[in-house]
Amino acid sequence: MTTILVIDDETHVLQNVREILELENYDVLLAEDGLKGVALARENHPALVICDVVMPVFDGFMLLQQLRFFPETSQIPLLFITGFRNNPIVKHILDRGESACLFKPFTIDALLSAVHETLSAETS
Amino acid sequence: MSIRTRLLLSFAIITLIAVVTALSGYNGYLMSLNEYHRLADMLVPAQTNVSRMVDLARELGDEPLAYAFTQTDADRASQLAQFRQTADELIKLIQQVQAGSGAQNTDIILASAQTLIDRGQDFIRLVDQQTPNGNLQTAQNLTEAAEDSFQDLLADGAVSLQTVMGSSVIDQVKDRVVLWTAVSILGSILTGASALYVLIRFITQPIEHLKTSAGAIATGNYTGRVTVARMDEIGELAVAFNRMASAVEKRELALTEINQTLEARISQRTDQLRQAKEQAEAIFNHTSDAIILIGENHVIDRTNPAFLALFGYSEPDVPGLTIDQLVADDQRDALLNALQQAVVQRQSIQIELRCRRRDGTAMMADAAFGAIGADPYLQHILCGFHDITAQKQAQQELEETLRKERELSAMKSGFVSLVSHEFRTPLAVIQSSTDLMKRYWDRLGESRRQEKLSEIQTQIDVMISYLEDFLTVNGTEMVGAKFAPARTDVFQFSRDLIDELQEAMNSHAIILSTQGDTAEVNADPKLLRQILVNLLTNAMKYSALDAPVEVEVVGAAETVTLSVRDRGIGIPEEDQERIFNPFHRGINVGNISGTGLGLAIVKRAVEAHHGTVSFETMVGKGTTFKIVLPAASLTDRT
Repeated sequence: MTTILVIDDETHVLQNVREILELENYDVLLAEDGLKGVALARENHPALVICDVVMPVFDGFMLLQQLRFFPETSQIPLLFITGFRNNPIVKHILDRGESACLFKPFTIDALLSAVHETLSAETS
Repeated sequence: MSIRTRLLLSFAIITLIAVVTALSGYNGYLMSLNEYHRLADMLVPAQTNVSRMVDLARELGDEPLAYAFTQTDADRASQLAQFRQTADELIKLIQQVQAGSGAQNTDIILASAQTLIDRGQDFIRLVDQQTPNGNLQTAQNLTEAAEDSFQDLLADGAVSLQTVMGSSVIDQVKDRVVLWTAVSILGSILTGASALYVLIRFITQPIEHLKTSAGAIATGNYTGRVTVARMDEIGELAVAFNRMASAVEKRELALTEINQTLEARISQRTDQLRQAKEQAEAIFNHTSDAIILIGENHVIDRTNPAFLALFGYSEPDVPGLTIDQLVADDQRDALLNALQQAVVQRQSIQIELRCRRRDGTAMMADAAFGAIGADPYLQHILCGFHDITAQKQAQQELEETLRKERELSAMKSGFVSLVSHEFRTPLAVIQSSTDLMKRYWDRLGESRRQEKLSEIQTQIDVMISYLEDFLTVNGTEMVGAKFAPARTDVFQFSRDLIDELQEAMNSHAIILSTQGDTAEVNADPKLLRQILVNLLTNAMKYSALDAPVEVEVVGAAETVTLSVRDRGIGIPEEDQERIFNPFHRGINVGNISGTGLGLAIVKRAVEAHHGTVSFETMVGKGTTFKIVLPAASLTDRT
């Protein structure tokens, strides 16, 4: 079963994401913030990390940097969920061209197709 | 030859000629005069005797017979003896003449005298022979004949005498005197002429020439030169004079040039000065700034119309008025200080002063002071006052407006940020919850469906609450969750969090040090976590990978102080004031990404604990954030 790490900074958005992914039969790991997320990712090597860009502890970009820093997590794809279309961090992340971004609010279809795309891009 | 020599020589020659001439003339004259007098003296008795002889002859001629008949022989003999004596005397006379003069005339005299003697002897003979025996007729004839002869003799003698005296003596004397007199006169004339020539030729003429040239120079004609080609003093004088004239001409030309230049400059400067003075006067009189000139003891010496208008004084109020009467009481020190600086530093001093008008009303003025004059003890100070009351007011209003505008702008951008992020999140929750129920209605079951519905409700409440918070002065509630304090040991909390961070990101070394026995606070662990993680991640984000981050926790009686020090880029001065504002980021962050919310969250979280947050920073050196939280012992009681 494909493991997906969802980093949830208590916005309830990611709780719903987790719930949807579980209903779609993914194995979902949950981290409260970016810091804990990095530790979980290093431990469990998830197939995908889904997180917010703006978070109180560790923003998305830092998370990305940290994951890329450690060899065991450096290949894990990330799917960012954000409300900031013009946020400099979002731009920065998108500029790197390696991560997908889902803008709030979003439909389940959009979420699932983004997840599928990211995962299939990774496996292919 | 020098003029002195020339003159001496000339005078010597002239004197010699004059002396010789005079001596010769005088000598000749004396000689001739002596001769003349001698001859004349001698001829006088000769003439007398000849006249007596003539008288005797006439007696003899007229009355010889009567005489002869009547007179005795003795008488006759006496008279004849007398005649002989006379003739002899004549001969002697003539001989005297002969001895004293030339032979030429002597011969004639001798001949005439011989004739006289012969005739006398003839007469005597005839008388002797015929008178005693002869007739009257014969005697008469003889007497007549004798008379004729005697007459002839007399005539001849006179002629001879005349000849002797006229030609040989008088004429000679006359000629000589005339000759020498003429020579003397000629000599004198020559002497005078020579002297005159010498004077004119060698002295007067060149001096006259010099005088004329000097006169010409004196009247300003410097081109004249003296031409005296001589080797004497006058020649030297002429050369010197010419040199002097050249020098004077050159100097005069130079002087004229300088003079013209100077005059032109003076005229130009005078014009400039006059213009400058006029301009200064115009400025002084027409400027809207009050200008006063103060002298000793800061007494006002001079004022311009703007001063009277601005300060509400009239002309008669000014005498005796001092400058410190123009400012508010609490401004006098500043005023005196500025005046002193203007005098000491010798430069214009500008300060803002709150001034006082005559009627007591206040006025803000931009005042400028400048010392005039070099002597620090005897100076005037020019003081200018520019009324900036309105300007100040406008500036304050403008600043106020600007401040409000900035606040509004910050709120607006904060609101935009809120809408784009904080509203998107609850909207995303609502969206995903709605989708969940739609899509997995059956699989969710009743309880999960209720959960989703209440979540939607919660998110709507959150949105409303955000909106309300934002619209209040305090702005948005960034911390989010409700404040739930619990007793927390900051030593332990920090240690755990740093361990966790080091586990997750080993890019930077985090060094923890602690002071004090306990460091317990009543804190919301989530907020405390946010505070510490934000400060530590900032410290790491904005410093080099190998630069360590130091955390110090100090537990004191009433406070717990938590410091995070990095050696990063620092916070520029212009950002320091607003660094805790939401969405504000330092200008030197470069490519380092961030939302500008981290420190705002820290500040709000600290303030929620009634703590304080402060920082010390230096660009390029690093930053230390210091959190001071009240100790648990304090907050327990409240």
